[in-house]
Amino acid sequence: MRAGLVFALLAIPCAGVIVDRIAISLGTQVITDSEIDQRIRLSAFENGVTPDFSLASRKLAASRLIDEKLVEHEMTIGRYPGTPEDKKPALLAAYEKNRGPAEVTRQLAVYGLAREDLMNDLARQQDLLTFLSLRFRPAVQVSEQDVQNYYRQHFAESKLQLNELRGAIEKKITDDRADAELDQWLKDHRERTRITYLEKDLEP
Amino acid sequence: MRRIYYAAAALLLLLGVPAGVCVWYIETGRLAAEVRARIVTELERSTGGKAEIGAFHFDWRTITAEVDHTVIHGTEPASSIPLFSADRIFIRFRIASLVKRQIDLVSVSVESPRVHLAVAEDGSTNIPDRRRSGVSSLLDLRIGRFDARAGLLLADVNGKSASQPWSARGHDLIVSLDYDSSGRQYRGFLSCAPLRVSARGIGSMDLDADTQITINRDRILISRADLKSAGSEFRLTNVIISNFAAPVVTARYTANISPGEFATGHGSLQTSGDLRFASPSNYEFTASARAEHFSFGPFRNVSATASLHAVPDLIELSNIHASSIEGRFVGAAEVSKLQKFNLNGRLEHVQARRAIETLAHKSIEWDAWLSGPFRASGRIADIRQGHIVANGRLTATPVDCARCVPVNGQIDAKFDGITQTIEFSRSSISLPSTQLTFSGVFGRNLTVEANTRDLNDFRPAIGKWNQVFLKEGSASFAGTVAGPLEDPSLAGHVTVTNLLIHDQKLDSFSGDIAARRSSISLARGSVVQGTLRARASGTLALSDWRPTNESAIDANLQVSGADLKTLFAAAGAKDLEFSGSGRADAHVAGTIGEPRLNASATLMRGTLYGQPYDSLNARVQYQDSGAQLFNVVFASAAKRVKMTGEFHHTPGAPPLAGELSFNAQSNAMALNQIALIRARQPDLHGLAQFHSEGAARIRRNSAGELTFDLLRLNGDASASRIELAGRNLGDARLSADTKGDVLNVHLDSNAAQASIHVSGAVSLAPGYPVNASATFSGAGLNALATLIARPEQAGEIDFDGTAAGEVAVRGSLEDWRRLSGSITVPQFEIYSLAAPGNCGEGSACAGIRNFRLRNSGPLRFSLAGGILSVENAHFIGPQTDIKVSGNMGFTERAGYNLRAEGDVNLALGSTFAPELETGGDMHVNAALRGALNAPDLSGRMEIRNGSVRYSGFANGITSVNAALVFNGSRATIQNFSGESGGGRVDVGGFAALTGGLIAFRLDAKTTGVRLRFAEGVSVVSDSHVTVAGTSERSEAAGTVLIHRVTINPRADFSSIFARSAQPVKTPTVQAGILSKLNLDVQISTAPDVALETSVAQRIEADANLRLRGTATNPTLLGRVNITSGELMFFGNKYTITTGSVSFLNPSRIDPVLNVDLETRARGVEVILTIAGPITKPSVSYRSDPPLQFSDIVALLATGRSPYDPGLPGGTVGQQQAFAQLGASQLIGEAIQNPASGRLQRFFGVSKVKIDPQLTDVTGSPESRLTIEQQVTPDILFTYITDVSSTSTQLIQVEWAFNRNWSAIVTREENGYVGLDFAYRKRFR
Repeated sequence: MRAGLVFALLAIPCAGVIVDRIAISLGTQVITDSEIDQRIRLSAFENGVTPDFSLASRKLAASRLIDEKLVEHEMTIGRYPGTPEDKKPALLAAYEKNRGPAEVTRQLAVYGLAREDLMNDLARQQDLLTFLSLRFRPAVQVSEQDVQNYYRQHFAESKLQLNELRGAIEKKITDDRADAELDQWLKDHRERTRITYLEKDLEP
Repeated sequence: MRRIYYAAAALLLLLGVPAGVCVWYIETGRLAAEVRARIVTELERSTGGKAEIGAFHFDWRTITAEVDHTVIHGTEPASSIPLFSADRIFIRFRIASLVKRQIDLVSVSVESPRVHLAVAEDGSTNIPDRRRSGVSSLLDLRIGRFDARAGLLLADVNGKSASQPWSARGHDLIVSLDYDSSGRQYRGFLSCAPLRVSARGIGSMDLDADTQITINRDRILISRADLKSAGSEFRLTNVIISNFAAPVVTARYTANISPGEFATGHGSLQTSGDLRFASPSNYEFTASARAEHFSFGPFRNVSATASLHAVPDLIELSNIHASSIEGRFVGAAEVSKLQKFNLNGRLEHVQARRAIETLAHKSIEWDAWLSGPFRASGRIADIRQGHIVANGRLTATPVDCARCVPVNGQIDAKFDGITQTIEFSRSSISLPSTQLTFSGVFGRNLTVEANTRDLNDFRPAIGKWNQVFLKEGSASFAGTVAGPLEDPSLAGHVTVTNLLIHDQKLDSFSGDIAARRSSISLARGSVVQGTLRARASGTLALSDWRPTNESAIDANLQVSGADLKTLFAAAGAKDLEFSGSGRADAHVAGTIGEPRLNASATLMRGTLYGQPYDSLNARVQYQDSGAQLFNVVFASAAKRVKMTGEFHHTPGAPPLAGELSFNAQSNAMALNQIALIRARQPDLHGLAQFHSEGAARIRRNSAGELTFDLLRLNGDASASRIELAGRNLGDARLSADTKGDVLNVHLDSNAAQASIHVSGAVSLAPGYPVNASATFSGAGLNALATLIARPEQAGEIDFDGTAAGEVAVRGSLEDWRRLSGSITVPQFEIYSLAAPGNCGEGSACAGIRNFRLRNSGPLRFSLAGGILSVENAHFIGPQTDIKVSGNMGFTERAGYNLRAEGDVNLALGSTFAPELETGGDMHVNAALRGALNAPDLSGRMEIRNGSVRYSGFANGITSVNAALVFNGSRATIQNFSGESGGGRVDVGGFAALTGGLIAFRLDAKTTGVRLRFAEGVSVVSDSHVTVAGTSERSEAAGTVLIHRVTINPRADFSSIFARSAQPVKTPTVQAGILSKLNLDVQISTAPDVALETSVAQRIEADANLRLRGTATNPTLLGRVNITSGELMFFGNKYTITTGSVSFLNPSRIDPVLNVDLETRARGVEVILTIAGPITKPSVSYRSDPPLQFSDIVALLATGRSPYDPGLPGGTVGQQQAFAQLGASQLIGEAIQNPASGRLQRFFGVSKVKIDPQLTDVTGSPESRLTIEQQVTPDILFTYITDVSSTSTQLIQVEWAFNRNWSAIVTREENGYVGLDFAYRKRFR
């Protein structure tokens, strides 16, 4: 008893520090507070705006992370090719081409980010595009009728001829339909996956 | 006013009168006379001689005077040349001061001044003797500018005369001459700057003169004379010219000389010393000299010091220390009579490379420091020609440099420029890997011995031979170098080992060579390379050490043991597939540009383009402008090919261009022994033989490639008993006959079981126009296809048929596009061989077996302009009627333009894809257009009442009705519906060819389709699956909803699960699209899913599974929950309290069980828990009331209660108890019964159980070990033994002839045989 009281007294000044917290769990994966925080910062940096850590912004970031995790999990299970580690620096270099590494590093520091954070985020974006092109784009069929309809709908008044715009229209329709397939796929997977919001505020 | 006038008048009178008087004085010449007299007086007064002047002119306006013919006589006789004379003296004055009566001489020009100095034997001169006392100034001139032209200095000394023309010009001349009567001497001073003096022998010199001179009666003393030129300074001090009778000049001098002023050179030269000169034959110079940055000849920046002593006929230089960037010299030299020189000293630290660069302007890469005694002598005049003698004993030490070859050695040489020889005493030079010793006279006879291990030591000299190396070898030369330096000749013996030439290695080479500028010869040459031994000798003419096309050559070569492959590779013909070894002799004569070759070769046991041969004899005669004959006999086993021929090279044409005539023949050769044929068609057998004679013209086209123009060909070739892959292709005979310009060809063959006759006429003209026709009948299509197809495809050809027709072709053989012709096939029939022989009537494969496609009406095709047109192609068969029309071009522009329309029996599909069983009708209306490499297919295909089944799949699709539309590179499924497994299948989607890949999307919906899996398991489900992607990667995603699961009564749960743990064997999935198909299918059970099995009742389960992985390696994730149900385990009913089968492994199907089974027997409640992976489940048990395991086994297996006292030995040994648990293989595997494992291996027995119900005929229950094997679905074989007694054995066979009745035959251990009938009835 006495020993327990002593330990209890000793514990009072030794307050613990919370390093991180799980905000959401989805299946066997988790999303932590720090990941939500980093997502907000990265998005703000790449958009060139001030980071917004409001609740609405955190909810949006959490939702994006859920989609990201689902895609990552699917890419792992489905053995989709991701960005190799040795190719990631090239992504970063391409991004830094205009501003230069020193300037980018300085700006990253303002946002509380490191170069590795940006590099990994660029790789994730590339992976998503890869997933999209391999998984959904081949299945999209654009018929001649689709092209003509689109042209009539958007370029009826234009002086440009259909043949001049055919390629662009086909690409636009293909991209839109692939995106729609992705959205549907994400919706299905969200329904199938057990998502638990440990941080209740983030629940939609 | 009047006073002013008077004063002015007085002034005018005062000035005018004198002025007028002056004018009168001048104009009347009185002034001139006055001045003239005055000049004469002054001259006489100053010189002491007698002065005379000719005309005198004075111009008071310009203040100039001109005096003609000025003469000053000395003490010489009147008839002699006077002391001084001048033709004309022109003086310009300037009045410096009227008050002081001072006049300056602005300029004085003297024409032809002549000074005559006569010295008598007694030393007296013709200079007049002054009689005045004291010092009187005789001359004090300051002339601003003077000019003396065409002067002459005459000297008569002791009767000998000399003259020296001179002229001088200068500024600021100051001349003063005083006479000191007390000393009876003249003292003078001369200064002039600048002064230009021109004199014979010295040219023109620009000087600054500053001299003091004292002239006595018999001595002239120049105390100091400073002469300066543009870059030089001379100072003479104490110059004494004494004893005019025998003048002797002594002086001391210092000089700073800029050599460039006097000769070509740079730098500076300081010298100082004394001189004494009496006569050209009596003088003496001593001096010390120093040169800095001196350039002398080729040497630059020389610094030197020396002591000079010169007397007539001898100049001595001692203590010479000279250094330059090339090195240093210390020594002495002497020049005698200004003709011969002698240099003796020592060279120190002379860098050889620099010295050679300086002297010979050649850059070398060998370098050394040279030091040692050095002497040179010769005539000065011969230096430029190099006719000197020099010798030295120099020691060479290496120079530390990165890009040079260091040299070490000792050279003792004597150079004789006259005889142009260098004589070496025993000298040696060492390079890093070379030793060179030489002695003798280079230029006459020099003996050289050289040994090297690395030719890089000589790389600077043989740089262009940079493909020649020694690879751990050595080269040595011992011989002589004779002849003059500019044309030496070498002779000696060369030995080389391990020489690498262009990556080809020679083991050794040796020979005696003699080389000179005009030729090189080799005697007793020997080359060894592996087994090759070659002897060579010969001579090659050279031009300035280089061979040319006109160089004559005469050489002999004998080669034996040569490995041809290595030899040809060495010759650069690495691609020539020719090997063997043998012997060859060759003699080459003529010139390099026009060689003549006679060679013969005998080769043994080699291969020629893969064809082994036993021997090959060849003789070749090559003469550039004449005929080249060859005779080759090729022997390989029993095959013989002989070829003779003649080649006439066209004069002036490139090599190998000319006319070839040949005669070749063979004996009967087995085709499968001909390597070329065997490589192409290993299964081709038969005999072939040919005989031919012909001629061809060989040319080189603009690209340098060889082209052949056939001029004549006669002969025949035959092949008999031709077999391909066991198929008899008959015989063939080809004959050719040339008449004039026309080659007639005939081919007869019964290949492919056909009768084929081809005849044609080919004109031997440019383009080879041809007119040919062929007829064939009874051609076997299978044999024909086998002939055309590749060997690996031949085995897959599973169709056959016959065809007969004729072909006519006209055009040019060289340009097939210009061929025209026609093909007519009146008879054509094709059928499949794919159907197995045991197809039942009415089956799909029977349809294949009976299917025959034949023509309706003759098939007609025409060919023109590279386009094959289909004029009539109508094929009919069972349920098949199809017409093909259009044309097909064989050029990129032409492409396809074909149309096919008609009905096709779908049974044909199996012909093309044997793994498919197809049936039904197909109507097609399609067109193929577009380029050959990018065809465009359009049209429509409809299927009616079709069926398709993939072998290995339990389900096929029947009653298929579909419509596909083709548009370019896309095929769209308009509709596709069928039935499968009692359900409906609908498919939609498309497939397109994009960027070389097939992109597709197929949406499949099934309703109520039954799928059968494993043994006895079938599933009824609805599904909606989309397969989309490309041929490189695709996804099958969708949902499957299971409505009913049926398990065959004879199926064993454990077997099902155990088999499910093994890798799924998909039915004959080939590499292709299916192997790259990823799965993502959600499998779930309907809420009312029914599980039908006789071993279980009222099972309620739900599944939530996800099928992932690929079609070849699928995996399952998820869980099957069993919420309730009952299982029968060998007479015991077990209730499933909880149960689940989990699939958690994403890389393979790995079910994990967790099932609780509960039962009650004799009042005891037993709960069995089976958990763990299916491959190794663990079985645990508990009971209420708690019992021992053995008691539970006994209770479950025999129904014995542990409390029953009537049964002896109730418990069974633990090992036996395990085997008695029940009929489940699952349990058997869990306890790993070793007996079961052995029986399984040898007898294939799959079950071990304890059967407590069976007893022998005596009816006493005992513990028995039972081994069962289900022989057929109706017959069960059982072997029973009492585990406690080896003699107790019972064999039982049960035949269940219907569901209720079965007959049991039992043979007991005592030999009794019993027959029992059993009736079973189930009550629900």
